[in-house]
Amino acid sequence: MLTSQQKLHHLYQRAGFGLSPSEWQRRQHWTVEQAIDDLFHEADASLPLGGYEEYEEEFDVMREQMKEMSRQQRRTTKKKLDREKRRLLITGLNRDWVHRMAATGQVGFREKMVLFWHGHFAIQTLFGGLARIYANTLHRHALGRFSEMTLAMATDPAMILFLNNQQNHKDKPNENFTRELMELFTLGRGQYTEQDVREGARAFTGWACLPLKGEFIYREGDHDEGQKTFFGKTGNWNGQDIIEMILNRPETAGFIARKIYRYFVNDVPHEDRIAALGQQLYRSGYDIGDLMRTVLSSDWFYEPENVGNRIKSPVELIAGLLKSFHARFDDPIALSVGQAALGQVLFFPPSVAGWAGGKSWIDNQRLLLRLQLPMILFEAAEADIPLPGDPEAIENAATIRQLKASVDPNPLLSMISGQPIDDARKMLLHYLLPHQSPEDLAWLGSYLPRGEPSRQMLALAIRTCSLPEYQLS
Amino acid sequence: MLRRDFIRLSSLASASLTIPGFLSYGQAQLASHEMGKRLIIIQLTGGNDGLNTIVPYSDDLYFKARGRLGIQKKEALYGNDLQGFHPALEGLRSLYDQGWLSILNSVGYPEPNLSHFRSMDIWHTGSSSRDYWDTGWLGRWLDLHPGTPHEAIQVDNALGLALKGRSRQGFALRNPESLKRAARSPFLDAVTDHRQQHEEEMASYLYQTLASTQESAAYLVEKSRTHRSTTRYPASQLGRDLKVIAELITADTGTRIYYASLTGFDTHVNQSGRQERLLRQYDEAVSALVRDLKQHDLLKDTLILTFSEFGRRVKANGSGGTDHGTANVLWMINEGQFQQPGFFNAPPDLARLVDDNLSFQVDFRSIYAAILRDWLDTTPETILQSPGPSPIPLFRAG
Repeated sequence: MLTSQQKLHHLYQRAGFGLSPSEWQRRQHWTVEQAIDDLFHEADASLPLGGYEEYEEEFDVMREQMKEMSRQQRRTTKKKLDREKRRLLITGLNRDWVHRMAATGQVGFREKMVLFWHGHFAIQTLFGGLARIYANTLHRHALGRFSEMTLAMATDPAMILFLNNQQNHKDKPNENFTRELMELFTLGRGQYTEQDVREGARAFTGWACLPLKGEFIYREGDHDEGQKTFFGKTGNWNGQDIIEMILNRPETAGFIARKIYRYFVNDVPHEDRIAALGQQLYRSGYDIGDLMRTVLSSDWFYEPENVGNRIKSPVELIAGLLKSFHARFDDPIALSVGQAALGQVLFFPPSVAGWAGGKSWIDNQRLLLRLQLPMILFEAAEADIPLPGDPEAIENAATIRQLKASVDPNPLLSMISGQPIDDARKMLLHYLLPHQSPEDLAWLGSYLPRGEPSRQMLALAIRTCSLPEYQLS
Repeated sequence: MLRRDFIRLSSLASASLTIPGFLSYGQAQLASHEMGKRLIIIQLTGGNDGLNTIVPYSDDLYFKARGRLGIQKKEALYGNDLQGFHPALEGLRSLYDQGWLSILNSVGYPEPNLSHFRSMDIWHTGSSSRDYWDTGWLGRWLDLHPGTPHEAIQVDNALGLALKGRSRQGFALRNPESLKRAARSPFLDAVTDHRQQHEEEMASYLYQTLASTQESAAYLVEKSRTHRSTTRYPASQLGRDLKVIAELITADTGTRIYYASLTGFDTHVNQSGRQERLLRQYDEAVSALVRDLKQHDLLKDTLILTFSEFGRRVKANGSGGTDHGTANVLWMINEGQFQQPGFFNAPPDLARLVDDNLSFQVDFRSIYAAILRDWLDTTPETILQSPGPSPIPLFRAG
């Protein structure tokens, strides 16, 4: 059985990115019910990622670029510059999002849902403008209706480009989007035929986008108005009809419920619970918020077998560290390098299937890097941090020695200020690893630098986050 | 240090009951001489231009498509009347002369994907271009072959998808020394020494991975220290990486699979100079590796396979380069085991292009299948999609 504080800690880990020291102090005696209500209030108030002037500039740059297509030399030079600029825009957006997950006054429930959906409706893009539109579309629907989110994803420019619906023409259909829509986004494998893919793709012809404007466009002239037979029903179907027919199948609700259960509860599926969740999702008209409330309020969510047994994704690990230490990345590229080294770059999952998660986050090098990460970020410890392996790069990827975040240790220290050293130590450990007994971690005391108590306490916190147990939520 | 290692090993002995890797540690080492065969994969990242690597210099269509980028017969190193080698590949050509090289033209897969990432994933996982698999073909081999944690080593700063299995992973290191430095800091040693009993599977998994990384790092440093290579390797990164591999092989660490890579082949502009420099780096490093292995009589039991995620467009672009393509040349090096050394099949057919690209003649998975069956002693169907392309006759029977 978990204590009520352990339950709260678990809830905040799974439904968000943990709590900052001051929020933990403020909330640690809340009831779980109170905390869940608050999660939904916070999510309602959450704002989309800001629109910055610089992102708009990116489109201007691209427009300029296209005008000069004919002049070879200038084009290559400009391409290089644009690439740099593009890199800054996408890494900037990536950082803004991670900082939002790590916002110290918040749990980050909605951001956690957006991260989940990003892994579900996975896209790759190098364009900050399109990435922002995509992320904010997920943000809007993250706790709303899955049906609306699916339709919104079918009209999202980044998605249309990534899954080649831009090339899905009346006279030459491209099945990529339609296939993944059914295989990965809704029904899952084995629930449809190749004919459904072919005919469904025809229904999505003409669903295109204007990449430079970041807008969906329905090209009526490029849409196939013929009869299509989908799931055995014949008619002049359009994309919406296809989505509706897919969502009318309870298998879709079961597929989504399973994915949510395995992400938020336990990677090992529990068939009875998943079936019940799927039925609820279906009956509620695909209400995701409703489903999440059921998951987070259920008794089984807090059973020991579902606690501390999930490997944090790299982004979760980073966001949680930033939040506990009131830290930020001044250099957005440093964050992206860190994400790449750990294996999770936002807006660039390995494929449309998203991140595999679980044990696949871990290999011998990545585990070492994860364990060293708090010391790398907060104590400027040196390590071999591999730069992203870019197939377009000219040279073999090298390593960098440092990855720095700027830290404000005061909120963490003020949580324990005025306490006798032994109590302070226990409070810190309880905040960071409430499932471990402080006695078992007493040995950490021999690995602290000499110096003032506050410096020692900070070092203790950093080392606590360097334990394998901290990798788990 | 030794004493400490001993204590650590014995303190881990109780933990090892749950670690299959540790249980079979000794056995795997003993068996390594019998199992013998090793595989080295060298990945050319970015899409190497196969048509300018193994040059079809008797095909007018080649010169028509390539224009000034084409390599003339008199510049190329002679192979046979149809194809020859890029001028920078002298070492490879001499391996060809000795019958230690097998060249496969037009290797690819149906419905080719022109994205670097996607196509590389397809090669790493061995999936079709419609499937998204999250384990690598060699990772799945690891799943089925319990052994040491360093059964498969990627000489790199991170582990790629090819060596990721469901329950086991390859082992990544740039060199044993730097891995040991990172893994055996006083703090991380203390973490392992103070591991708590965990019922949760994931916590044990993390501790096991940490402990086995520390053990393997120390073991590999110890072993390779006594087998310093006397062969001269070029000063390039690939040269250093292949030297690490040679030292681990001669030290007989029981590792069966090695993986190295060279990047920079995405030659959209000014291809000639860049590809020449890269192929020269490759040629020098691989030549040194082959000399080294031959000197220890280890080339017979070692297969070196070189591949790239795709070839390049047949027609040169307007910037002195080539754009992403599809089917590509792949080659393998070994002493004495090829059924048919030299050219395995006909040159690419430049008259029958699909969307301006080569169509594939050999499915890469039929090469994987042959390697799995004949080199890694396993049933290909347990690792690759079944039914899938069947193994091609690469190796001599028995």
